[in-house]
Amino acid sequence: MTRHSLVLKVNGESHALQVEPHRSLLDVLREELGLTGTKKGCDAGDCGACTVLLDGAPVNACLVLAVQADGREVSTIEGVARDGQLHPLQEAFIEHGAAQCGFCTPGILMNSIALLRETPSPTRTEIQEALSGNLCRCTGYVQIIEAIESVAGAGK
Amino acid sequence: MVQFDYVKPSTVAQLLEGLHQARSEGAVLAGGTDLHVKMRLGLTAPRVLFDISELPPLRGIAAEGSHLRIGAAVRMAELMTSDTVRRMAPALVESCRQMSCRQIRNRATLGGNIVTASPAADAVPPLLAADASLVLVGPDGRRELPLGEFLLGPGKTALRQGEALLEVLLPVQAANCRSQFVKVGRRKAQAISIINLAGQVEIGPDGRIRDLRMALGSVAPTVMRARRAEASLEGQAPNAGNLAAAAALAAEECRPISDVRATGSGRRLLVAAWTLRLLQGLCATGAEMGGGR
Amino acid sequence: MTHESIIGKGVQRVDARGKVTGQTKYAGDMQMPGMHHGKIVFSPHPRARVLEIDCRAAQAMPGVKTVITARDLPGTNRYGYDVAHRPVLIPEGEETRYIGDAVAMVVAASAELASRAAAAVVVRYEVLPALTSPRQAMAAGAYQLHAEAAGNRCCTREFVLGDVAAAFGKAEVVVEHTYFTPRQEQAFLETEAGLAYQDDAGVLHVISSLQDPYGVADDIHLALAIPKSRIHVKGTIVGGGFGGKLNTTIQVHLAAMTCLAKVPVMLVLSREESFVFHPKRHPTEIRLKLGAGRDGTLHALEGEVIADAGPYSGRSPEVLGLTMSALLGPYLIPNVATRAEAIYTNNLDSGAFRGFGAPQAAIARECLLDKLARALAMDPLSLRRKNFIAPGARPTSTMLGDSPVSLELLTERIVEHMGPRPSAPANSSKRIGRAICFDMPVFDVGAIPVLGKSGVGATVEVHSDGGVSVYAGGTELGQGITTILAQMAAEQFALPLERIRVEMSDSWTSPRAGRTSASRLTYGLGNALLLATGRVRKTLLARAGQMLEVAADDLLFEDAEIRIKGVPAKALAFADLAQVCWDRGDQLREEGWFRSAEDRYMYGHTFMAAAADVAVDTATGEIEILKLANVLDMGRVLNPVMAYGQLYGGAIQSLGYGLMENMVTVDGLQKTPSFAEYAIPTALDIPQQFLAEGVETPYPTGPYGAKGIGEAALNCTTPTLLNAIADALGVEINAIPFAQEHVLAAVREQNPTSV
Repeated sequence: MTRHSLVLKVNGESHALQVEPHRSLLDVLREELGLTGTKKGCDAGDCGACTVLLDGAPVNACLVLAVQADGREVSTIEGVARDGQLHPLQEAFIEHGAAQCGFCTPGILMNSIALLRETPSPTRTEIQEALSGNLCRCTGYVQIIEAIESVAGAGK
Repeated sequence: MVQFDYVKPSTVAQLLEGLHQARSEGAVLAGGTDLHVKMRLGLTAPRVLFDISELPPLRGIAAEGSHLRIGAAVRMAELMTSDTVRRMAPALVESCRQMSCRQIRNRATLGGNIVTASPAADAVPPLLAADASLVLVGPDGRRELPLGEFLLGPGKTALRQGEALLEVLLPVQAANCRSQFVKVGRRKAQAISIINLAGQVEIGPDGRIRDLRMALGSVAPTVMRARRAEASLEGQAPNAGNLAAAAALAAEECRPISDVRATGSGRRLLVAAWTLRLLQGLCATGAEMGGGR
Repeated sequence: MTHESIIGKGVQRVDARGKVTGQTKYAGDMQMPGMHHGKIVFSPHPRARVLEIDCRAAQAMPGVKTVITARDLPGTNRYGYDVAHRPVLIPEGEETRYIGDAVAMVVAASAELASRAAAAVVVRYEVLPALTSPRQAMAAGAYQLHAEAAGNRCCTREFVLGDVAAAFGKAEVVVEHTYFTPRQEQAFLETEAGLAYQDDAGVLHVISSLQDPYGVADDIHLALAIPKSRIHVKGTIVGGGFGGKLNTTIQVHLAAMTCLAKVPVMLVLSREESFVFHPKRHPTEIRLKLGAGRDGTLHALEGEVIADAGPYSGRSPEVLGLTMSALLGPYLIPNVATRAEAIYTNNLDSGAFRGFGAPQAAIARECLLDKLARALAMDPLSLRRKNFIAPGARPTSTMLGDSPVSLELLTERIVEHMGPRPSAPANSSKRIGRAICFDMPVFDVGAIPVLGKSGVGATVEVHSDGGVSVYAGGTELGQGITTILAQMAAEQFALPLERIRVEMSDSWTSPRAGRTSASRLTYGLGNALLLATGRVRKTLLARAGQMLEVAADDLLFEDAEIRIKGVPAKALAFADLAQVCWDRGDQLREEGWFRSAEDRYMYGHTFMAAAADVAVDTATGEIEILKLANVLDMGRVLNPVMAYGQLYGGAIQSLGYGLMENMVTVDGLQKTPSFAEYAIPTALDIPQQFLAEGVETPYPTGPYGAKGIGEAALNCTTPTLLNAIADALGVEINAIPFAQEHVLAAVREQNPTSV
């Protein structure tokens, strides 16, 4: 099958790639760009572990073909901290014990970043609804919600 | 993983030409939320995908006099934020809100939800209750088909070889029309519906029910209209008795199967309970309206 | 100025930064030059004879390094915990026992190529009738899955105390019911994954997501005949285990792949493969009978448990043992006759899952207690209190030792959390229900001599720059053991947490520590660590005493210094002292080896209470959890943030078990293959008010008085919710998951004329 040339802009950096069209954005991020922070939990869009932002909108990277992300802005967990400075949500997650095994954490953080941009002061229900596509098996969600609430309304 | 060629047609003509050339080995890619999973599991193996997710004629939302036109490639998230759709098709917006999760809604399209033809598709009941029709394009030109005639069975539609879904047409509701959507799942999000229902009704100035449509999903091979329940209430002034009787009829006329999610008898109980709740909400007979889930 | 203790503080996890930045590498994130990818060919049939495996087409495909069948394997082709009867690959001529049995394996240059080649392996099967329920497998004439297991009995447990026949004869009220619990899937977010390679000396390295590096090494040795000294197993940071990764999962297959293909191999199971492959919670049928006096005093308990063991033994004996003890709970019952059996079937495998049989037993026990309360017209809380184990008394189960009884304290706390019972809205179809349940969770204290696997070690090393390394063989599953050990080491040496580095789960660098399960690591590794730090402290104090010209007893560790008691100005910086010790040849790396003082098979135990308020809509079946509270006696709360995380997480897993989770097989075939069909709770499914509290009654032999807590929260929530719903509706519930349509069916049964 013919490879397609594409330019993926990931965390502000452009990458010129040649990929076969059936490759998912998730696999290309992890395998071609070595960005393994985005996790594969199910490869079916059921768990949200692979959540990235595509032009700012949270999507499951496993369901996006890499070729469909050509020329788009992709944001992954690796781009969240700047120059070693953690994002307030990352600090809050650490403070509140929101990460236990940590496998769902990158997806939840990306989704939460998008949520707070759209809705700076979400209610608890709005947070729960926004996170409903990110499965977590360890935490019971409580400390994740508390971490987000602690940052919400604080202007980031 | 299935390998395929990928084409992004920039016009409908290009899409049709491509589909024609690919014959049975071509498939349309919209949101990809169903297609990707089927391909990975080996349930379908197209040789070429035609990405229509940005094809302009499939992306519009337009109120045009008697109809609301929604392009097949409009995403669920876009339906939810469109003032036009919220005003003119609130039950459809409610079905989007309860569908899956926001990551999926940011990709999944209205056309995809219809063409995948799952009996549990959440967007279909409100469209069926609204008497929606579909505009298909193919080598023989355009044709319009009522949604009820388009869905033929689980995963089966009236789409012909080389045809694609262009638009969904919703007749504009009358000013006094009310509509609602209910979903029951095993959990409050990301749930394949155990049952899902939509209703649309006009209550006349005489307080009588006019033009009631009840669409039941996940309880038959395709989303179905509860015709007997509808007929039993036509022209009636709603009361506790006739609403309960109609709900019982809906439970009788649906044909649910038992599967991993629920038993057939369990589904009938849910249809009876939620049809009544839906009717109470539509007819505003004082019962509080939950949204299901 | 006194040093502020780090024990009891909700300090940041030592692994948190890596997890929130995506820097932490999980097993599937690893890369290595020359790395190939493996794929397993699983049997599509639960029971079939493998007639012929044709690998020719697969072998010829581009990028395929090798295709492996049983005849290529060195060694015995057998491994397994408890009974080593699990084949690595089913050979031609032998039968499969479930759809997770492997028939062949492929190693190829990419995961995609490996998948395609695996699909090209052609296997001819003779499909045979499968045994798909314990009762079917127990019936006369059923085929035997294992030659050594007549009647397909995997294991049996019995417990008899007193004289139940007489006691039931005298009992004024007798209640009985049978409860059905389904298969629950651990559903960790990270599927089974690992990387294996042989180094230039031919030594095998397996780096994988696992819960027992020692068990894995044992299994590789047994199956592939590789000497133990030439096997190195390193556990990665695990993306969730819950017992599903406790037994060896893919590691033997992975080891075989690399040894035969002679290249490094990465293997990651897909979600569908994971759902099939590893063992899940035993489905059970539990018949339970209670006899009591009219005043509520429990006289007798009789019970029978039939558990579906699936195709292999694994953890079934342990699960059964814990089920038996949990049937009794924290209540004094003088006459008991219970029996449990685990039966082999061709269904999915059953094994370890947080709780190990206690969640199933708790459902039967607590639901039957509420049934008894109704029969006695007695308040369910009063009934339980009347039968609590008294302070100072040993529990009824002989499998347990001494633990201070905190049931009255728990009662006080849970009652305060719940407050007054809410009332139903007027003119509404909603009914309010409330329930309070108690449990006596157990944890392993290293006193299991019969398994020959007691004894836990940990190593501490003080470096010449004053930094500290801890080597401990448990695995970090997310439960936070790495941080707990760091806290303890920091406390012992009065150093900031950042100066402690903990290396977990390495069969070469960590002393033997046993498995990560049974809520045992804080207790076992903690005690071993304290022994190790104790020795190093002694050495440091001796040297410091010499340098400061005082007796070692006159010194203390404080704020990264060693100070003379009462004369804080006279001190040595820890780092300086360490350098001197190093220069003088003092021993600064010590291993602590902890063994329980008990010489018999026993578990430690603690106590907990859970309570719930629910609103059940009789018109629609909707179940709203208004409030859920969990109070657990933790002995000592070492890190409240992490401890509460365990309570919340366990409670939600328990909520899922009760209300929505069911891994379904029909004729041994998977019907819930993915997260789309198998529903676990989302963020929207948590209770409206969700409370957790840890109380402290120190455990005499626990490090800082701590008890094991990881599993506890999973036991109590399900029966609490079921009892609350039952209370709301006035019905009995004996099967889970219990959901909307079951509410409606129960309402209809009560009131046949209602819609």
